[in-house]
Amino acid sequence: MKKSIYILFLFLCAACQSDVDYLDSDVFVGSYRVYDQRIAFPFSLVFTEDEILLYNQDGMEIDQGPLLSPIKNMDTVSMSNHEYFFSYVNPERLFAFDLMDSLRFKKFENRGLSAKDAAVFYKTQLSKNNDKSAVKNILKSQSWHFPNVETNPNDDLVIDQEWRFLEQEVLVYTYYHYENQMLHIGLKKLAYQIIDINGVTLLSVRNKDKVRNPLPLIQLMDVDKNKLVIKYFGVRNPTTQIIKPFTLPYKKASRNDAFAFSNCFDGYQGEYYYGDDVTYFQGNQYIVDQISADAPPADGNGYLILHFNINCKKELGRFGLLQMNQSFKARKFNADFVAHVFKEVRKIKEWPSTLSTEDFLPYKDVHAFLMFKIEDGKITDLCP
Amino acid sequence: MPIRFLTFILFITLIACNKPAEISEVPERDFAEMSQAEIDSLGDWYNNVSNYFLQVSENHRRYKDSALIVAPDNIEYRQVYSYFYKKAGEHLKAMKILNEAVRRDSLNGSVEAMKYRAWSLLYYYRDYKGAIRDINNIEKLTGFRYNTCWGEPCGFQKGQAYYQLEDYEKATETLLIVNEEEAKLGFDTKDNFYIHFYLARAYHKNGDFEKAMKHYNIVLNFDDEFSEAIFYKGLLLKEKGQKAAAKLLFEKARQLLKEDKKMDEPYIERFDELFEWMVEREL
Repeated sequence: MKKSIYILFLFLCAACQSDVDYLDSDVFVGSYRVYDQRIAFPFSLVFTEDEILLYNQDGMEIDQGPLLSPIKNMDTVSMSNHEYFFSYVNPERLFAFDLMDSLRFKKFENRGLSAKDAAVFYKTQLSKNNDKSAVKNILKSQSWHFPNVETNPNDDLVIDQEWRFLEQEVLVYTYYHYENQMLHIGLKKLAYQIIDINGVTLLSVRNKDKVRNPLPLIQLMDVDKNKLVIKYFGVRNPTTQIIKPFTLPYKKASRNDAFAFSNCFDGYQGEYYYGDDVTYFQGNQYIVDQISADAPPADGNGYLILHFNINCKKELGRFGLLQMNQSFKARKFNADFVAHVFKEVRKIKEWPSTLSTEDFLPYKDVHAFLMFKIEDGKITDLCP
Repeated sequence: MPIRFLTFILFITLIACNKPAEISEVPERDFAEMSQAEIDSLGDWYNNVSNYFLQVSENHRRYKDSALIVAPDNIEYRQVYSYFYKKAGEHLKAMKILNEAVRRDSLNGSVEAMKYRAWSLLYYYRDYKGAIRDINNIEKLTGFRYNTCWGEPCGFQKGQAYYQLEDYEKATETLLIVNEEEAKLGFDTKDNFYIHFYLARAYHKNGDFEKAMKHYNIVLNFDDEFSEAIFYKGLLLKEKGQKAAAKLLFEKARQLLKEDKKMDEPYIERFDELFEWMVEREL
C-alpha cells in the first residue's frame, strides 16, 4: 500500500508540472503586439548585465546595445537599428515599443504612441533539453495532440488538433466532430525550425507561402517521447501545457481527406459587418433554398449558428457551432441535420473581399457566422 | 480507511500542483468601504477603458465584465455588453445578458432595453411574435402608440413582423398608424419611404394591387433608384399581364444592382432585399 502511495505521489508531481520546475533564464520572448488585435511578435530580448540583445524568429541575433542599468518603467534603450521604449516593466513581463519601427508601432498625430499598441514580452525559464537535433527527432517520432488555439465561438463541436512533424514542415490537422460524427478535417502546412536562445528552446513556425504573417513562438520546455511540455506565446499570460502523443480513437487523416485552410494573416480577423459587409453575394434566401433542398428534418425548433473564418482566398475554416432553442437556451439538433448544414455551407464560394481597407486594422480574413432559424424541423430563415 | 486514503491523496495533489501566486499588480479594493460616488466613478473607469478596445475583443469584454461587477444595476453597460456577443455571433450569451438588462430596466419602469430587444428579435432572430410582444408591451407601458426602437419607429418594426408572419392586414394597419402618428408630429409622411415600401409589399401580397401600386409609386417618387421598389413593382405589372413594362423595370433593377444601389444595412439583411438571382429569374 505504501509503495502504491509513493508511486502515486511521484505520478502526481510529474503530472502537475509548473514553472517552479524550471530555472530562470535571461530571455524575454515576444508574444503579441496591439492588445486587442493580438498580432504575433516573435522576437526575443536577452538582458545581460551590460547589454541588451534582440533576436528574430529564426533565432538570429539581429541587434544589440549597451545597458547601463536594469531597465525600469519608461526607459528607452538604443541598439544599432532599434530603439526600445519600455512603457511597463515588471519581473514577469515587459511592454515595449520600437521607436524606430513606425510600421508596427504607429505614432498618431497629436497623441504619439497608443498604449495598446505595445509589444508584450514574457520572461522565460530555461528549457531542459537544448539539443536541437534530439528535440527535432522527438517531435518527428510521432504525431502530437496540440491544444486547438484557433477557435471561433464554439460549444458543440469537439475539436482536436494533430501536429505531424516532417523534416522541414509540420502538418496541422484539425478534426471537427459532432456527436461522434466527423464533420470536417482542416489541414495547415507550416514551415518550422527549432531555435535556441540562451538555453531557451523554441519552436518557430511560419506559414509556408506567406512572408508577412508572423506566428507566435512556442517554447519547448521539456520533451521526451511521451510528452512535450510547452509554453505557447500567442495568448495573454502564457502557461505551461503538456502535449501528449495523438492517440484519439478514430482514423487519422490523410492529406486527401483534409481541406486546406489557413488564415492569410493570423493577427486579427475582421468581423462580417466591417467595411462593405462580408455577407454572401446572393443573400440569405438563396442559401436557405440551397441548404433546405435535400436537408434531413431537424428534430424541433431553434437556431443553429455555424461560425467560420473566410480567408483571403475565400476558403472556409476554423469552424465553431452554437445551438439554441427558441428561448435562447442551449440545445442540440440531430447529427444528420447538423452534418448536412455543415457540408452545404462549406460549398459556398461567393464571398466578397475579406481584405481590410483600414490602416489601423490590418486584417485579411474575416470571422463570420450563419444563424439558421429552424421551425418544425425546417430551415425557415437566416441571419445575418 | 478509504476517507483517510482520499484525504491523503487530496493533500499530496495539492502539494504537487501548488504554483506560486500570481504577482498582484492592483491592490484589492473593498467595495463595501467605497461611497456610491466612488463606485460609480470606478464603474465609469472600467466602462471607458472597455470602449478604448475594439468592441469584439477579449479586452473589451474583460473591462465591461469589470464595469458590471462594480455597477451591476447600470442598464446601459449591460445592454452595450450584449452587443459584443451579438456582433460576435455568441447569441446564447447575448440574449442572456440582454434579457437580464430588460428585466432590470423594467424594474425601474423603463422600456429602453426592451426597445433594443424588440429590434434584435425582429432583425437578428427573426422572432416576429417576440418582437410584436415586446412592442405591444412598450406601447402599453409608455401609453403611446408611437415609440422609437433603436432608431426606427417601433410600429414600423411591428408592421414588418406582421408582414413576415403573413398577416398582411395587421401589417398595413400597423404601418398606417405610424404614418398617422408621424403626421401628428408634423413630419411629411411621404418621406417614410421604407414604410411605404412595406405597405406596398403587404398590399401586393394581399392581392390589393391598386393600393400596392400607389405605395410603390410614392417610394419611387421619393427615390427613383430604389431597386427593390422597381423590382417588386415590375413583379406586380407582370402579375397583371403587363410583361413588356415589367421587363423594363427588371432591367432597370438589374442595372441599379450593378451600381450597388440597393437596401443596405451593416448588420442585417432587410426583408425583401434584392439580389441579382432574383432579377435574373424574372428576366
